[in-house]
Amino acid sequence: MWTASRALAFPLRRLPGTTAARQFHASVCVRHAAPPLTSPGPPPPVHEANPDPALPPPPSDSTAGPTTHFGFRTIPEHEKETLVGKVFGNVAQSYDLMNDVMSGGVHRLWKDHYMRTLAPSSTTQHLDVAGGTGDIAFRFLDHVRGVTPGGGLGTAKVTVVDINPAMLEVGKRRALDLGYRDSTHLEFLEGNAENLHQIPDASVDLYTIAFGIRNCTHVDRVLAEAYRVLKPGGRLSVLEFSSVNNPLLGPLYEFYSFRIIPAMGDLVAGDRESYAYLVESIRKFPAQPVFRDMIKTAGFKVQGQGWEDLTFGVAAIHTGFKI
Amino acid sequence: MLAFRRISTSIAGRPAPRLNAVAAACVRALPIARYTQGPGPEANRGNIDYNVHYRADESTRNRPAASQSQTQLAEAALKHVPTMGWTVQALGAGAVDLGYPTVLHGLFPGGGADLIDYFLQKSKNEMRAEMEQLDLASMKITQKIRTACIMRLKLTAPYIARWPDALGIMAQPPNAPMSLRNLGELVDEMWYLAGDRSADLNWYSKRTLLAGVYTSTELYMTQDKSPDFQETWKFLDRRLQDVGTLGRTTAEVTNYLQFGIRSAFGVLSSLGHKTPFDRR
Repeated sequence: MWTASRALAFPLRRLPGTTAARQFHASVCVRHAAPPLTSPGPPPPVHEANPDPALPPPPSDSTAGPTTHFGFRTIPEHEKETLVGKVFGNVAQSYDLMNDVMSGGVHRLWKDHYMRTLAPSSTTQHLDVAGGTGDIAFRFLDHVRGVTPGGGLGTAKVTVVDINPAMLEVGKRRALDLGYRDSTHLEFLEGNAENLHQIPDASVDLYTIAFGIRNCTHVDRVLAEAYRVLKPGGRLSVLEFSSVNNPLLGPLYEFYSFRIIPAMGDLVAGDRESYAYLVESIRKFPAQPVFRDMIKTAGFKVQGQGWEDLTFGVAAIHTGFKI
Repeated sequence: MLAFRRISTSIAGRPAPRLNAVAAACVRALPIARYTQGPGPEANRGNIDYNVHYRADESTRNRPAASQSQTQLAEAALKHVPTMGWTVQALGAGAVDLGYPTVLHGLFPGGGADLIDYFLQKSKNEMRAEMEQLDLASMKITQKIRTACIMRLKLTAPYIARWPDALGIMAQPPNAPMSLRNLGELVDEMWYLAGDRSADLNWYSKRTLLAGVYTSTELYMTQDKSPDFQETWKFLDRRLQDVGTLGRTTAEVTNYLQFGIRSAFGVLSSLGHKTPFDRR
């Protein structure tokens, strides 16, 4: 067992993209704002918190001020948004393809199950945050058509908010392909989950954020905003990667995440760093009970244990109600 | 030699902590393994209490009770069951009645099955409350069982058109534990109210037989078009009569079998074999 693990680990350690190498590449990218190699998409978003993404202070010099995590790196809080923006600007074009490749298509099952669990109706006002490519929004519209007699959409509406214009572009293009030409039932807005100033108080029935909340700098602010925009009786539902607690599958999942996913990102999307970040950010996200307590702290009522594990906890659906 | 031993221990020594960790993880993953040691020396074995007043729902009564919001939502949703069935839509309509968005149905993550579960528990408790109003002491056991069955079935009457749907949902494998638990608790409650305090094999046979009677009557009721379910009550009487006959037959068969077994062991012991009936 010992020799086998050594033999297995040794060549892998020499692969490019170890943590040190990753940090080096990432910091170089940040300093010179190198354009993504493969992505012809629009440039990374510029945000008011950090108007010049080309020249953020290098991570090593930034011991002063509040810090947060970006993958396994510690960075000043105000940088995270820009860095995350860069990652998603890089991956936007190949985002859906990579989701399929990395999860073997299982993410579609998760999202289908997610929508069946939420079971919206023809009156539901849905806010999908960090849903740029529209994966959740289109499932919402399909579900409403399915449960409404006559197949209409009634007064149901989904508003997609994403901080990243590149991701929103992908979603808008798909909306046009699917025939949603006006904003009666589907609308795309550029906005920050931590400050949804476009959305009035108590105006939303259903707040979803799927695989997005771990990329936000202040999760507590996101939850507070969710509480603000939800109507009384509204539902917060967070679909997010979580922790696998099974002692047999845990190590396998670990190996897959840290060895295979970055390599696949390199192969399929030509972007190793972005996918390494995705995996690291998954590990940095709080485990199920901790996040459940964060939802409670934000004022939501949690029913039962408060989450549902999907595929042994690779992902989990967290639920809170504003009652 | 020493060097060789060092190398061998270093090789042999390394995997050991890992294996231990894996074993510990496995043990943690298997809750059964924790209970293999049995009661400790301080356990008072002489003081075992056979509680004949035990009710089956006592073990489940400690489950987290339906929260107030859940109860409100379920009560509102039950009003929509006759039109919408045991569905998430009924729960959503109930939420709208309360002035909330339909997505509040998520308070019952199991949807229709959870609503049925709520209804079954509520009806059992209502039946118990109604029965306790009666003068149970003056009634015969069969009469008490019959009254309990009728009282409980009358609570299903408003939803009888949708009850076949409910039976279908309850029969789905993931919901089977829920429906069996509710059935078990219901028949146990009926026998308890009827004054049964048996603590032998009869406990099981009584409950099994009553479960059969109750479910078949319930099924008959879904097809009954007679006024006030007169035919259903007649059906119930016939089933209870059957059970009386069956119960007597079972008792006779048991006696007969016991006699046979005892005689067989008697023959064996007279030939010098040890048997469970030896009193020496």
